[in-house]
Amino acid sequence: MFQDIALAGPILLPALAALLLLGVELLAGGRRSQGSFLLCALGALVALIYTGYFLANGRTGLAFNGTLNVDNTALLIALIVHFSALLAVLLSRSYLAARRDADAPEYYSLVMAAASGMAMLAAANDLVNVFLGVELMSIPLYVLAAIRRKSARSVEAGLKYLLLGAFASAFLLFGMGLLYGASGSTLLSALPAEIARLETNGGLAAFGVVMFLIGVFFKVAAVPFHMWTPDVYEGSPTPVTAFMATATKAAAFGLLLRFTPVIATGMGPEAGSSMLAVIAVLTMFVGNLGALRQQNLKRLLAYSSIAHAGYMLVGVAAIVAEDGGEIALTGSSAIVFYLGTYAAMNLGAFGVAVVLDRGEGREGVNELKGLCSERPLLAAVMAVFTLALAGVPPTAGFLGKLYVFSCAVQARMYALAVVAVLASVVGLFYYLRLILLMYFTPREEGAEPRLLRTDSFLAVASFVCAVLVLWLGVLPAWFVDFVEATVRG
Amino acid sequence: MITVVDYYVVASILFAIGALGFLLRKNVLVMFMSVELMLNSANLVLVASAKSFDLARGSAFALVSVAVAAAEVGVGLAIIIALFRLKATVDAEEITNLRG
Amino acid sequence: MLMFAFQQTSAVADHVPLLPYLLIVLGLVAALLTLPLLLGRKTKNAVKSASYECGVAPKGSARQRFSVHFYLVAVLFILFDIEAVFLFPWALNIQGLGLAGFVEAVVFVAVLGLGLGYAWRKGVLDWQ
Repeated sequence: MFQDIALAGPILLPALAALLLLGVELLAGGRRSQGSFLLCALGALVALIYTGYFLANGRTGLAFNGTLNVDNTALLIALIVHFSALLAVLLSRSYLAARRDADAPEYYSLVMAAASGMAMLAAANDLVNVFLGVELMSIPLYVLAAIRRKSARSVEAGLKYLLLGAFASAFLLFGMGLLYGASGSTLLSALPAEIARLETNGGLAAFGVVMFLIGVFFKVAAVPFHMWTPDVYEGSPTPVTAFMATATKAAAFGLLLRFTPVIATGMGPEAGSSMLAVIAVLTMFVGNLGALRQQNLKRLLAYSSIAHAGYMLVGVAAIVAEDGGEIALTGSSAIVFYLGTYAAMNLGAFGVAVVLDRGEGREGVNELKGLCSERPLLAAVMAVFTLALAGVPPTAGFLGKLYVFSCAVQARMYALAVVAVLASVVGLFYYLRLILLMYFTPREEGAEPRLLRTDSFLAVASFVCAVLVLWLGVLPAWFVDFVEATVRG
Repeated sequence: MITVVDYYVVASILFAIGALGFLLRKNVLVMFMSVELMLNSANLVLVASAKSFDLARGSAFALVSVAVAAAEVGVGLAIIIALFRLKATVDAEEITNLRG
Repeated sequence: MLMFAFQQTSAVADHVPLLPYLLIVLGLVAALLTLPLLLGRKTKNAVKSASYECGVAPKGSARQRFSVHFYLVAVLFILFDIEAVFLFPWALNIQGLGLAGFVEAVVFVAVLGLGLGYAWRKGVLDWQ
């Protein structure tokens, strides 16, 4: 019992922090935004350290009758989630201080609740836990998107996210029902064998897998289930967008990695990987082409995050194609590496977006014009994140892409690998446009003075991200070895 | 004779009605109700499967999903009310601040 | 393998004696509703169409906006009502689940209590 609770620490600690924040608000009342900020940051930090400690000491295993499988991949994903939560909280302070139209204690409590759900999703080994994890992740995020109650854009973002998220959850649940009907088991690890044993019921498992995947595709914003992403990312408070874009992706891909054997058995490796490859190609191109014409920085980053989901789906397609064996390990570690580096660079970019924010609907890319001459350090940091997102060496973004695409080569999906490289070339254009704006375009005459909103927490967060992106790009060996070694267990 | 497959067929029809309602209707509340219908059709699949295997797990899962759906309804109604206070409409076509 | 019927043929057979009863009830209701229509005298005046003895005369449209308070209470009711579902299976198995089950139920209720306290503190329950 206590062993189980200890293993579930990465899930329970943020949940405890969420309840504590609510309890403090209950007892103290009023707007103790400073105290709740510190308590929340502390909670995220403790969860991060706890997860890191378990990871470093190989404290893994099954918990609660095998319904949670806290293995190394789950711990790595939880580490990324808690890292994102911590940094998003650090970004939030100056953002909320400048607005004053969101209730701080509830805001921080919801961030912790969502982090708990994400960690649960990464470790879930049972369909019930998968569903609980998805909803514990999503429901707080719906509220967080709409937390600025007086802002029509924020509430609209929350509503759109809620409607499409609930729509996706219905697909997910229906798929789970069919998978349960096809196997008689809710344990994810037992599903492939049971589905194979009860072969008689034909298309039931395949239908279930497709419905389940539609639900997951909505959550990771894969084409053609990506329509909500730009609107929700634009309308949500910027730190929430940063958290959504990084941690939700990490958790959902953690689930997808655990689900790959079921895809391979339910649909067959051929059909499953073909479907994933088609979705990956569509996602990469729609994301990159959509980003080309964006003038709003948050919308641009939303399309960029769609494209990044596509790159990672390439790795998932490769894993399903081989169904087990060596590629499952290299593919998983490549995707986890990608998720980690993506979290660092995306959180950094959104951090800069928070600094440059001029208020609703005015998060234009024009705000970047001439940033280099006015704020060289800020421009340099943003340049690092942009180049990393574009996948230019020697940043971490390049290595992430290299590892994921080489998985496709390893699975002999050469066409997919070539198309993925082409898609990232298309992506170069809009990332480089941002660099051009910052370094080579002068600021317009008579433009409004900048409103640089920053505080030491935000500065620390951006700095940590920039250092991580460069460090993982220049000296990746230790992290690659670490991820590979831990994923292999 | 009613077999478990018939339940799957009924559930699929309910799910399709819900999905069509979600895609075709413009009233946000009705869209939300359609989603609830879809969730409940999934519950029907779970309960029918649980009965056919004679295992309680699926029924327990359905209970959990009902509770989670209730939480979703709570949040959904709250957001719809917040929107109505700002814009005095629940028509999805009129909610268009975010465009790109 | 999956294709076996749920056992319900016997359940249908058990209810056959209810059929005459059902028919009598339906017939009686139908007769009582149609006979006055055929035999009764029909007069229409303001006094006759007014509310009879009790009740208040309707005023204004029924399509009024309700106070948002009703929604808040309704939402809270849905949540706490449904959460109670989890306590029933636990109550049925309370012996088998032992102390661990009891502690878990206490934690569950405590979290719900925290939520209730929060709603209280935020003034949802103040009916002014």
